[in-house]
Amino acid sequence: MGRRSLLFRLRAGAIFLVFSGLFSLCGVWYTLDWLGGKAKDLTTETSSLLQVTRKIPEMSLKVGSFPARLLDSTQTAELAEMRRETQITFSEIIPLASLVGENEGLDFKSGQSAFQDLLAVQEKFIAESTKIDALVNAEILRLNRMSRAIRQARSSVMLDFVTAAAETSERQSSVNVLFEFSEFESNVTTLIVLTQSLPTLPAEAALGLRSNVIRQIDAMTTTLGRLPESSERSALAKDMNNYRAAFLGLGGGFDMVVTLVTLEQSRRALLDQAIGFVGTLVDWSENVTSKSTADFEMALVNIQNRIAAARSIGVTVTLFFWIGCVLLFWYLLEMRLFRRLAGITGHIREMNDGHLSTALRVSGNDEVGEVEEAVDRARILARDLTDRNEELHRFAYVAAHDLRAPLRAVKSLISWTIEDHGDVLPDEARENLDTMDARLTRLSELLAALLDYARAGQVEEEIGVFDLTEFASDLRQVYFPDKNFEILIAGIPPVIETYPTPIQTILLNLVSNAIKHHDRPDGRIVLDAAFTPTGMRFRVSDDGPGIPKKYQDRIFVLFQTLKSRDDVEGSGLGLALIQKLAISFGGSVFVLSNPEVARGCVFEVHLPFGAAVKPFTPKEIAA
Amino acid sequence: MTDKSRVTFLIVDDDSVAVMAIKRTLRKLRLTNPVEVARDGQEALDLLQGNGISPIKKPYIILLDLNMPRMSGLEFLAVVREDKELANSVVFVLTTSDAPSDIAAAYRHKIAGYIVKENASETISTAISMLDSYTEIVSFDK
Repeated sequence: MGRRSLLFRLRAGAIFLVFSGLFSLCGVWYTLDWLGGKAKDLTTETSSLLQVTRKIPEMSLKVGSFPARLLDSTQTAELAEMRRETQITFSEIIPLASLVGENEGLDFKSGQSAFQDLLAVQEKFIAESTKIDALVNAEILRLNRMSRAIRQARSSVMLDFVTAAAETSERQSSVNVLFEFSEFESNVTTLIVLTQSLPTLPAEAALGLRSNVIRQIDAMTTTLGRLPESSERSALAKDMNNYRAAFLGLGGGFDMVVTLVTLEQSRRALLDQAIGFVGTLVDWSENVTSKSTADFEMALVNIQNRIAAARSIGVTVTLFFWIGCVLLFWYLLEMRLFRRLAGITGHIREMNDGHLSTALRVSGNDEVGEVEEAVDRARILARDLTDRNEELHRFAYVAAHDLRAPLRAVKSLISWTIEDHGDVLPDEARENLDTMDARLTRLSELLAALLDYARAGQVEEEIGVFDLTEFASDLRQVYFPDKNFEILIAGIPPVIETYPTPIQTILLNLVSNAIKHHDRPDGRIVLDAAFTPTGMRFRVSDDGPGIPKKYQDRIFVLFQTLKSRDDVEGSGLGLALIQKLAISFGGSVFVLSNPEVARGCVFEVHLPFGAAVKPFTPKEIAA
Repeated sequence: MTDKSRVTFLIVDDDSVAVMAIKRTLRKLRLTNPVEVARDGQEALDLLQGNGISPIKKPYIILLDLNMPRMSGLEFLAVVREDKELANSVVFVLTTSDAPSDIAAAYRHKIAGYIVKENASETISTAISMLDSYTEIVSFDK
């Protein structure tokens, strides 16, 4: 074919637009979905970050407070509580730290074990201190008992000294005993002070008391040795030995102090370790927090950038899409369809106005081009038809006209011959001349009818009013005055505006035919006119012999007559002329007759409403 | 009668039978006016303008056919109405053509009447009897 279909391109354009619209919709949906996913990711990321940033400083603060609390605590119950807290805190902070992921250089295990070891050491420390306290209390009781025993013994010696008038030597020895007792008592008092100060001093300082205690005990032993043998002295000596065993013996008070010193040393080491861990933890938590915040800000900026990118892509795509739409439809619809249709319409209007000489340029190889080709073909046909018609009219007119001149001449010559020489002509010659004249008259009438036929439909008069009632009286009085035919009107026919002459010609010919072809000398012809939904209907009915069905097609054919022209003078053009006139109005004429059933014949002429035929309104008379 | 006889009829027609018919009718009506015949428009112009011959004396009435060789009746009328000397000539169109376009074109050239040679002798007779009265008017005019 090679034809490029405009409709196909328009449909393809429309489908393309629909699909690209859907596609861009999908694109927008995808972008939004992607952004939603990103926002969700950010929320997930952010929530863990927020958890980390909120909890880690709190926890590191808690862990940081542990060492001080630990040192302050002296109760095992407190320590047990702290152990529990430590466990909980570490069990919380370790998963958080693994969430952050960057915990290099931070050994939670060793940190936790340092805390636990510290707690264990502290427990032992407290236990040891408690033991020391108990020992000290017991020994101070013993020392107080000793002090009381000494005071009793001294009072009995003093009583003996006062009541018994003893020998001077005895007295002297009594004074010595009293003196010894006093010294011993002061030594016991010093020991009490030393012993009491033992738990209050730091372990190492307490260890320094050992030599003082030994020295004191040695001094007391010497003093005791100087006392005379007595039950009191034995009791005191026993207490002395017990005290010595309690403090200086294996596993005694000072061994305990040594243990405390050792514990204190290891506690200090562990404390250093724990504080070091806390320091690292605090640093780490600060790092994590600031890193989390930075991450969050970065993620936000990232999302903003992506939204901006998605927006600019969306705007660009939409812009190009719309520009594409506008260009495509401007080209296809405006340039390829509307303008060309306007061109075609304008050309058809010109053709209607009778301008048939300008060709319509075919502007494309598509459907519109096809229409243009068809319109131009129609134009050429119309032009040819107009030319031919004019030629035919001219031919018919010229033929009829030019034939009439010589005919008239012959007729004149015949009539002059009869006029001038009729008297001397033989009868036969005279008859021949008469027949010649009659035939010439018929020929002349034929030519006149032919001329009428050729001219029929060429409207040259003004629109006027046609009233069948008036025309019927003209028919009766002017055209067929002396016939024995009744010309009647059925009802009151409507008045129309039209070109009166062709209508008159039609009706005149129909009435004339009815009379001419009637088989009786008299008859009745009924005229009738009425509006139909689409136009005007005239009807001429007669009571003649009718027209047999088989001839009804032939009667409208040019020069067809059903009877010899010698019987009925007729041109054979009447009905052809009527039909041509009716067709020139866009109407039609047909015959209703069936002689086998009934006499008579009805001719109906239908003329559609239009510029040439419309109902007459009295308003226009006033105008 | 003397006045009337001075009006000349100029018949412009290429059909000799038509000329005979007119002359015959004039004779029947006992009109003795001089009759000149031209076979076409050009010949009639020559007669009126006196081209090479002596022109027809005024007053005259022109009986003009339309369909003629060389110069048709309408062409003749156009030339006559342009010519100052001839512009006021009385012209009757006497023709076989009853085409409305011909009638309208002829009347545009200010003709005095349009007579269709329908039924040769009868129409010509009535037409010329009408002319008869017209010749009187023309002769009074002179």
